[in-house]
Amino acid sequence: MTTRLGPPIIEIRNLHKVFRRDEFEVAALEDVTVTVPEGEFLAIMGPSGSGKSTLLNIIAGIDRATSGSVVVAGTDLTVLDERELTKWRGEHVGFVFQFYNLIPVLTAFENVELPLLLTRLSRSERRKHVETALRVVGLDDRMNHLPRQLSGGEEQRVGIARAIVVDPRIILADEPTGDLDQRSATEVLALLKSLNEDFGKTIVMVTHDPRAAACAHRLRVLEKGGMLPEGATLPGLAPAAG
Amino acid sequence: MVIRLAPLVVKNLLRNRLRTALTVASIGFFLFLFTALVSVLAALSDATRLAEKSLNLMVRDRYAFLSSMLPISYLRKVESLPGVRGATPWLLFLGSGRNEGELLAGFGCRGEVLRDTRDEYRAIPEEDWRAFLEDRSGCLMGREPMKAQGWKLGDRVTVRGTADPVDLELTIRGVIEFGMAADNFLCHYDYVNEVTGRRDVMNFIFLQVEDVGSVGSVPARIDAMFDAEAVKTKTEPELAFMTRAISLGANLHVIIYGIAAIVIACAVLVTANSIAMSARERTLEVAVMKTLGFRPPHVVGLVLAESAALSLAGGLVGCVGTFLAVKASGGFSIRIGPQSFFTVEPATVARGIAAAVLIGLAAGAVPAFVQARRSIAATLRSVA
Amino acid sequence: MIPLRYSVRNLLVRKVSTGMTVFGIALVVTILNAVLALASGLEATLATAASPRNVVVLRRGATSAEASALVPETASRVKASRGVALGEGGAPVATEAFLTSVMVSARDGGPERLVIARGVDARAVEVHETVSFSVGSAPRPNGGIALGRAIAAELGGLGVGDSLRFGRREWSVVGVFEADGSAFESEVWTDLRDLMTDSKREHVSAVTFRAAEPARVAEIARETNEDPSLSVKALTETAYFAEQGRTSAQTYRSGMIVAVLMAIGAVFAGMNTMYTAVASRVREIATLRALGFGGRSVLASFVLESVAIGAAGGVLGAMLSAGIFLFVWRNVTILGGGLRQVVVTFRPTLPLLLTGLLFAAAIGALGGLFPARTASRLQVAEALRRT
Repeated sequence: MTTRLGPPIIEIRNLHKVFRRDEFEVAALEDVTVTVPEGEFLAIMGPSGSGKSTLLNIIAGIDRATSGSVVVAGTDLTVLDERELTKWRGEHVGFVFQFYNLIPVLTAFENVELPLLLTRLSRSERRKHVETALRVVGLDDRMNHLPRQLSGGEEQRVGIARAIVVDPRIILADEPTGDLDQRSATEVLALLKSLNEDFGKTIVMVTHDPRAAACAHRLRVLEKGGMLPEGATLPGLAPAAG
Repeated sequence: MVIRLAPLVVKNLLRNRLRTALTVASIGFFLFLFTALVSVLAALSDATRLAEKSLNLMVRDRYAFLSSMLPISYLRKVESLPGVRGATPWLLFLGSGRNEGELLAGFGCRGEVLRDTRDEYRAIPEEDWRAFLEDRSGCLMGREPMKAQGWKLGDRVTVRGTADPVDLELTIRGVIEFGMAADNFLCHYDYVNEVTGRRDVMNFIFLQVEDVGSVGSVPARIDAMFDAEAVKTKTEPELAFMTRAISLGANLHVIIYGIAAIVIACAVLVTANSIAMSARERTLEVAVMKTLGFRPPHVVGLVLAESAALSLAGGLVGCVGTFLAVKASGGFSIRIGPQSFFTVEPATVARGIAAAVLIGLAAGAVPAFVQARRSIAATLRSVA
Repeated sequence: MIPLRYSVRNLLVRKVSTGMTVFGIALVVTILNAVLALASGLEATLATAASPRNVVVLRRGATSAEASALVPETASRVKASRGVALGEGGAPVATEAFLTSVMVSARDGGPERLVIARGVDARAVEVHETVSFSVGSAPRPNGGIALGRAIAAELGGLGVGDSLRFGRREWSVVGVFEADGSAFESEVWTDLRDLMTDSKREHVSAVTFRAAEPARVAEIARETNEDPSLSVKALTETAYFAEQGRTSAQTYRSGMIVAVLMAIGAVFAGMNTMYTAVASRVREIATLRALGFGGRSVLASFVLESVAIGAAGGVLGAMLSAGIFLFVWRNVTILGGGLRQVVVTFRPTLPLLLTGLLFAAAIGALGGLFPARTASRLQVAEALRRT
């Protein structure tokens, strides 16, 4: 399957990220360089502690680089301040978490509506977008359920609906199937693939599930904060599909 | 067993220092209030207790209170009773000082009786006493009015009457630093009586008896003496009268008890809330402990101990706080009789601490039992 | 910007904790409402006694009628002065009164009460417009007294024909009067001469008259006050009773101190609850931040939640107060305005309950402020990683 890839939408160059833990400095990411063309489905794998989530957070603007250049969707994230980053994030990125992170006291509909509350859309317009998003993930009949009334797989799909409701160009998924059973995982991955192929969304997915990685176009591997060269992989991780 | 578990209790409390601190602070405020309120009540009841030891009595019109009016002839009869060391008439003169609206109250009395029977007047130097006793229109002026009016020792001043349509011209012969009349002035009964038109009445008689035994017998004898007269008397310990005068201002006891009850209720709520929150976070731990062999009574004990420790800490903070506050404000006094200083008695502090412990136990009771009875399996299931 | 329902629904999650905090705040509010009700009740009781057309004349320098003495000539001159309204037959609408405080005991032997006895003349009822006799008649010479409704009830339901002992003799009740619920209803009225004789006084306490021109009552009071030939203290009856109410300021202040101290305790407790709420929702907060809600939205959301708790406590407190004041504890007798015991009715009015509500909301806001700040300052990446 050949998807038409556009110009680079994510450009990371010489990225360093250092954490302070009390008196100790931990280098989470060391000299990471990676480019993602628009429309690609990229999987990032690596053992725990390798910095995968950190990389994702920096791309999303949730975390800041210590040094290096981060250009996403044409914007240099390193020069934006907290407020600008937040605003940018709301418009350009959809984030899918491992533990779904739905607000327990809000219904599926209300959870998906959350990002839209930051926009100027009217109530009816918001409703339209939410219903569309829920339809895409196949949950429009469960709109008024609370998270605790949904299964794990359904919760994650609500999470995905929330991620796409602002129609972002990029979807970042941090271990989206990590907490799911076989069947739900398959459904979720199929959904992500569809979002990539049918809707042209660029997807960067962090995972340590080889089957999930198999859905992606390309695989990069992180080890101890450093990104291994293209094509290289670690034992135990399956090679990417072509 | 309790001793061995104590470090665990302390560690649990220190786990969330902010929560512990806030709870202790909250309880501290409530118990500060509680201690203060109880102290007020104690001061009032102490005064009545003290009265039993005091040798000072007072005589008033049986059917009047503050507006009591007795014929001056009664004084001689009271004076001459065996067991009475000294008696003075007491006639109120209400007036104002230089500026209208400034209340200045004074009493016409027999100065020498006061000097001989009351400690607070012995502080006045001998020469001043002599000058006062020799000057018919002399007076002893309280420190406060002197400051307020800008008067000095030796001044000849005018007190403009309000309740009586006459003025008093007095020469200040001495200064009253403290005691019953520190906010007022004292002058000679004969002088006031004459200026106000020789009505030959007095409001009260203040007397002192020879010994404690007489305190019981003299009042009955005095009252019996005038039982057949038009104006009957009531003789009682001075402090009893003063205490009644204060408590006339509202059903003080009921109000204070009511507020104290509410304060305690709030303290219990706060402690219970804090313990409940901690308990919720530690259900897994407790289940694990149960698998290790801790039985329900142990769990109950732990929770109760933690709860009591919290409220005890709060109680200490509150009581100490009251103590310091009273010291800082110079131990403000309730004017009942000869200056009754409002201090926080050890008994009150003890009561406050006891209340604190009870609060803790009450607050922890329900969470303790709930935790003790939870089944291990249910807990492990719910957390997984 | 974070929807309101987020805050509100979270309140319902931890019902026990929220409930206890709400109840605690409700108790604090009840105390505040009691203090306010007492203060406003006393004020109202005293204020209603005043007729807006009347002027009260006391001895120069007197602070209250109970401690004032006017010589007969002065009293007569006041009554004849220009500002006094004239009634039937050209007689001045003015009344002399002699006030003294007396102790009376209830019929059933309850505690003795300190009551104002007011010796009045024939024109008293005319001048004091609010007074009307529901039972019996005005005081009569030779021991005929009239009781205010409140004091008659407090003394065990005394009525016409009963006798009461105070001063030097027994008195006989010939009437019971109402006065709009004002302080007069806590008074015992006797014949003027009777009381003066009993107290061995030859001076009256005060003269109250109706102003000739009601619209100019304040000026007439001032003119009388400044009249050098009279040398008295004159003020409008409204101003007089307002002044009397001020002596209850100390009780009010003590009550407020108690309420504030309790409020501080409640704020700490509220902080506790909110800090726990924040701690248990770290992941949610991080998610909201990640989704694009700024620190300020998070702050507002948590403060709102805390205010909601406070408001709930305020509403509960209002209901408790209203319930107590209307059904359980209607009156209290306090020492107000000089040497008198006044029966004050707790009035849980709407403005008062609203004040309590605002107070409670403020407690909530203060309690939630710091925890909300902590929530708003959450480092998103850190929080997401931690969970």
